[in-house]
Amino acid sequence: MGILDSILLGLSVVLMPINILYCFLGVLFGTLIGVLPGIGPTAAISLLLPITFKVPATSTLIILAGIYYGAQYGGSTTAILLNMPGEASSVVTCLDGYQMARQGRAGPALGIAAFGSFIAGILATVGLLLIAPPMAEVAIRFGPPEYASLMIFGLSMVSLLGKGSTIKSLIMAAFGMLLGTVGLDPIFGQDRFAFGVLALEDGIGLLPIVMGLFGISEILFNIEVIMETPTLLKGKIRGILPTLKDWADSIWSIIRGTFIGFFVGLLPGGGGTLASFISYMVEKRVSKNPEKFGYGAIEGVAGPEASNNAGAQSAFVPLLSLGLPSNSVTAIMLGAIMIHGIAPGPLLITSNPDLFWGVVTSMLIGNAMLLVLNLPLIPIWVRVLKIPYSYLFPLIIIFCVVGSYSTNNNVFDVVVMLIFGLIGYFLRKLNYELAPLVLAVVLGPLFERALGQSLKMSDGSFMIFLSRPISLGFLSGAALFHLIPYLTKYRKKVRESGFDDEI
Amino acid sequence: MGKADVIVCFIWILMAAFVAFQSIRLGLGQWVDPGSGFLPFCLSIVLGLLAFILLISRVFKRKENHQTKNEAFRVGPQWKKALYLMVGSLIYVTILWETLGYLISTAIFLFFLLKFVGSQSSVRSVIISIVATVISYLIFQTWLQCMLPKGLLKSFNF
Repeated sequence: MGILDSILLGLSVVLMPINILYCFLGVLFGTLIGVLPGIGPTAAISLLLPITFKVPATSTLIILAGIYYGAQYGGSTTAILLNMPGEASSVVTCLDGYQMARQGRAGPALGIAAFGSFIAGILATVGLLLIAPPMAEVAIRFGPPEYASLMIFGLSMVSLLGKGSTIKSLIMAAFGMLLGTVGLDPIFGQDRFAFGVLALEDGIGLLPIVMGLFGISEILFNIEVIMETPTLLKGKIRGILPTLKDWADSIWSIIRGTFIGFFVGLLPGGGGTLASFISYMVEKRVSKNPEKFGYGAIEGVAGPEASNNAGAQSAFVPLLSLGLPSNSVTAIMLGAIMIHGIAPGPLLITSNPDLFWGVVTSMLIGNAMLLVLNLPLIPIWVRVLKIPYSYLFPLIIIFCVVGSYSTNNNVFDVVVMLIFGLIGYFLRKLNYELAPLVLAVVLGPLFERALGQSLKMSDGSFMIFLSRPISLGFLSGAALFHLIPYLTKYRKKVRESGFDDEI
Repeated sequence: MGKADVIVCFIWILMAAFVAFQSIRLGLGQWVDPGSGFLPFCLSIVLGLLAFILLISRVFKRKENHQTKNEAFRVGPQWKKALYLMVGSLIYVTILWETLGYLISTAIFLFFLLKFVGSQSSVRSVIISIVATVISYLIFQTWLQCMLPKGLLKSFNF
């Protein structure tokens, strides 16, 4: 099937009225989540999971993807108007976006953020279309050893690229995999760590874990500090369409941001946040007027906003072509499609072409919807900002309770969810990253199967992971990336000691 | 590193020891045919080692007095609200949920959250809790057809 036929297939899926509606709901909800501080895309996707059990897999992914990239658009609104990032990926947008707003240029800042995100979204989706299928074709040749090594590579990269301590992140990964082993063993049917509790024999569900970790713990985190009511800048937002000069200043930033975001998003542990930081640094470095950065440079809004959206789209490349999630959002999506009985991996594109092409083309339509939603409707989103958190959190709790109850009609799952809320709260307080944990919970059972099959293939020798070139590549990549921080630290020390010339 | 961090390291190590012990009981199998306990056993070793490295590295770091303040465990000024929320949620889920049924227990729980955790006025709390309960019932029970417990309202058919 040629690429045009495939796109037509995708369009035939996404242009079904029900899927257009789902796509719209996804991006609408995503923007809302992006605008509301105190609830991030991971929490939002966790909250909506139980609803998606009732719709087909393709629609599920269309909704969840819409929330993810929709949140990238919405996050910039609060960053620009309130100096308060709606999402982590909009932190750098505050730096220049808010300054622009203070200078009365909130309109162009919001406009260029939305247009930049749109251009980046479309370009990154085209990149996804072009890269994912050939990548899957390469990955079809992967055997269990390659898969096991790929998962190790993914988990260690996520641990490495997180903002906290790498050892803590690796602890999270090991803990997550252990959680994945609870329940009946997939090969022998022996019960593991269930301790006679019937509800544990099926394993700890992904839903109670992610709802607790991201929904409940986020609430606990927010209500113990005094939430300030946001103060909006006075005055009407005018001139949302950027002028020709604004375009001239920012078009190259948008294109650079798109490329940076796309490639960072491909990495496990990459994603929008890292992409936006890198893009900001690059823009500041290449700019002719770097002194303007931090004082309302439009490039400082355009680049990072483009790159976080591009990163959110390209994160789907490893997810859909390899079955490897690169952050907690895509890990939950992987869990969601597995609940629908779809096996993730390189065969997904050929065995479920409607899912792959449907989701990818929905991104083109979703990005267009977002542009319409975000520009003319800014006054409405500003009003949403005024909803106090004390109204929101009780509703989020009810969603979490009913959501975790509804999958098995079991109160035990709700208690598990609350316990994970508490665990998540303490882990966050102690600067443990939650992304490696969620990734490991989802990948754990897949890893165990791949490990078992690999050892069978090799008659019990671990050398199989080192003797196959692709697997060796993944493992040495993982090891090498872990060494880089030590090497740079060592070089820095040597330089500080004043003997740099000898190297 | 604060005390809490050290305590958590010990929790990881204890957990690793417990899992290792249980995994041996489950059976490790042979290399060629790993048993049920094989992966948990390997993971427990990794977990224990990582926690041990973390503990050692932080104990040494403490002497240099690096960042100890930033990494200390601190609760926010309104931590009691978080505590009420957790205790309230547990009572709601384990006791009220099935005895009173979804509608009554949720309305009471939402009122409690809005009034005592969210510090809203009584009238506002009553109105929002009733409206939100009805809307959530319509979403979950009527639209998504979840089997929410009826409790006291069992005899009413709606």
